[in-house]
Amino acid sequence: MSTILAIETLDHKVAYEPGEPIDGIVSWSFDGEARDLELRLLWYTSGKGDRDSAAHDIVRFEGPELTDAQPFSFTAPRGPYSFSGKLITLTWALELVVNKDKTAFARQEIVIAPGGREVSPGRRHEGPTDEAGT
Amino acid sequence: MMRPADNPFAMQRIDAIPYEMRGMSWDDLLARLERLGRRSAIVGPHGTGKSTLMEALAARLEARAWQVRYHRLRRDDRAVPSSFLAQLGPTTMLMLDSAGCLGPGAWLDVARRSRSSGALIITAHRPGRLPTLLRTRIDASLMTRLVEALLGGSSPWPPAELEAMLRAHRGNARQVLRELYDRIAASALREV
Repeated sequence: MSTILAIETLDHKVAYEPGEPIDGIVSWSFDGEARDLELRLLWYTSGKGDRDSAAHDIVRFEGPELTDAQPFSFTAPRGPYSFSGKLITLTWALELVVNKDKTAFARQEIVIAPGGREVSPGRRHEGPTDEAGT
Repeated sequence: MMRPADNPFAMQRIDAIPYEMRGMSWDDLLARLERLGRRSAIVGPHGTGKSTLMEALAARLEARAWQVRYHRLRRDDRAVPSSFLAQLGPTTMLMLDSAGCLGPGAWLDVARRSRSSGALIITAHRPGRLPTLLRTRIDASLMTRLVEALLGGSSPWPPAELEAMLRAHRGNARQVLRELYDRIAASALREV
C-alpha cells in the first residue's frame, strides 16, 4: 500500500466566484511514518512560454496522525482569474503535498473567475484580472 | 480554440519528459563523476537537455544521501547568491545550472569557495570550466521520439522535416518544440 492523499471540496464544487469561500476536507493515510502536510491554494501557468506559479494561501498539518481527515477553508482571491489565452492558461488548484516528498501529492484543479467560468479571449467579463496573488 | 494548457507541446508537458540516457547507464555516469573527482560539467548547446539531465541526476544523488543544493543562473546574473556557497560540507552536492553565465572572476570565486563541498556539477554551453561529464546533443531520431512522446503517437512530421527544423534552430530541441506548439495552435484555430 502507498500513501493515499485526497482533496474533496464541499459539494464537489470546482468553480468559484472571487471572494467566495472554498471549503472542503483533506484526508490522508500514510504508508509507514506520518509526515507534515501542506494544503496550498495556488495558481500556475502552462502553455508556450516559461512556467510561472504562486501560492496564494497555505494551511499546514503538523504532526499528523497516520490516517486522518481535516476540514479546510480558503477564500477565493480577487485575482488573477482562471484564464486561457493564446499563449498561456492560468490554472488555480488546491494541492496537498507531503513535506520533503515530491512524489506524494494530490491536486484538485478549480476555476476562480466571475461566473465561475474560465476567462478566454472573446468572452466578455468585468473587473480586474490581475490583483492579489501575482 | 485549443487552450494553451491542452497543446501537446505546452511547456509543462515538455518539462515532464524524462531525460533519455543513451550510450551509458546512470551507474556509468555516476562512476564517471567519481573518476572526475566529483567536479564536472554537463556540456551542450541550448535546448539539448542539460537542465533536464541535471534534475534527473539530482534525484539519483539525493537517493544516495547527497544533500543537493541547486541554483539556476539567469542570463543577466553575474554572481551566485551567497547562501548557495554557505555552510558547505562533505555531503553537499552543489549543482550550478548555466554556470557559463558567470564571468571569469565570478567563476574563479565559485570554484574556490566550493572546495569545501563534496561535489560540484555545472552546466555550460562550452567545455573548459570543469572536466566534461557528458555532452548533450539532440539528433533527428531523438527529436522524433520526443515529438511522438508528446503526441502520444506517431509524428505527422517526417524525420527529415524534424531534422531540417533542428538544423534551422541550431540543434535546439526546445525551440523546435516551440515551433511545433505554434503549428498545432494555428491548425486548431483554423478548425474553429
